[in-house]
Amino acid sequence: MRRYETTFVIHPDLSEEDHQKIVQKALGAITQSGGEILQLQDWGVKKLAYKIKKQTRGHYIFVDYAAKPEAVREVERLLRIDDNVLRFLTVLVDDEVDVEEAKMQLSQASRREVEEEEAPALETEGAHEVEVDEEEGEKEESEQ
Amino acid sequence: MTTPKVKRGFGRRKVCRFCADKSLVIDYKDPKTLRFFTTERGKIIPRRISGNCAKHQRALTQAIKRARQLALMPYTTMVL
Repeated sequence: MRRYETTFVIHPDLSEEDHQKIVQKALGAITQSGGEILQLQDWGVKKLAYKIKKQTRGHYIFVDYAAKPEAVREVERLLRIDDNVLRFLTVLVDDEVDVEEAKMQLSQASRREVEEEEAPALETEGAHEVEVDEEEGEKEESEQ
Repeated sequence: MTTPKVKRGFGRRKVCRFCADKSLVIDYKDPKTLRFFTTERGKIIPRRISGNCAKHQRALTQAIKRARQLALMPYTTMVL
């Protein structure tokens, strides 16, 4: 099994239902062939750098998964058929992937992110204050 | 008279930003970082200007081109 990342851009004005249908279809193609979804990210509607099919915005979906090359062919085939998919890109991340290990790492990474958001934000603020104080002190000394 | 090609004024030697800062990763999903290495028109800045090392420049161009495919970055932009 190889590790792939597929990002695709869906038409922004699609109803939630149609939108989910496309995503589920892609995910289904991966899991049916024995693949494993590691990450599913919804980047939301973003502005496109250039127009695609007369659209200036697009809804980005990012999937990180482990699968066989045949699965990728199937996913891309489905995305190509659908007119509401503006663009897709699949990138090979790793030739060999240990699904369990990858999942472990991902869950650890997300946990770490949460912790970092809470704790060091305060720490850095504190550090800044100290630095400013020291500088002021030095200036006063040199003036004297 | 042969004009010496090497002009060394006070120009500082450029260092590859990705070698200097190991926490900086090249990722096609992160156009904010990549934009730093393109001109306003969206062209990739050459290595001799940006000072990147060959290895990172290769990874960078690859990432920028991927980002362009996904319309995260422009191929070109009209200059006003």
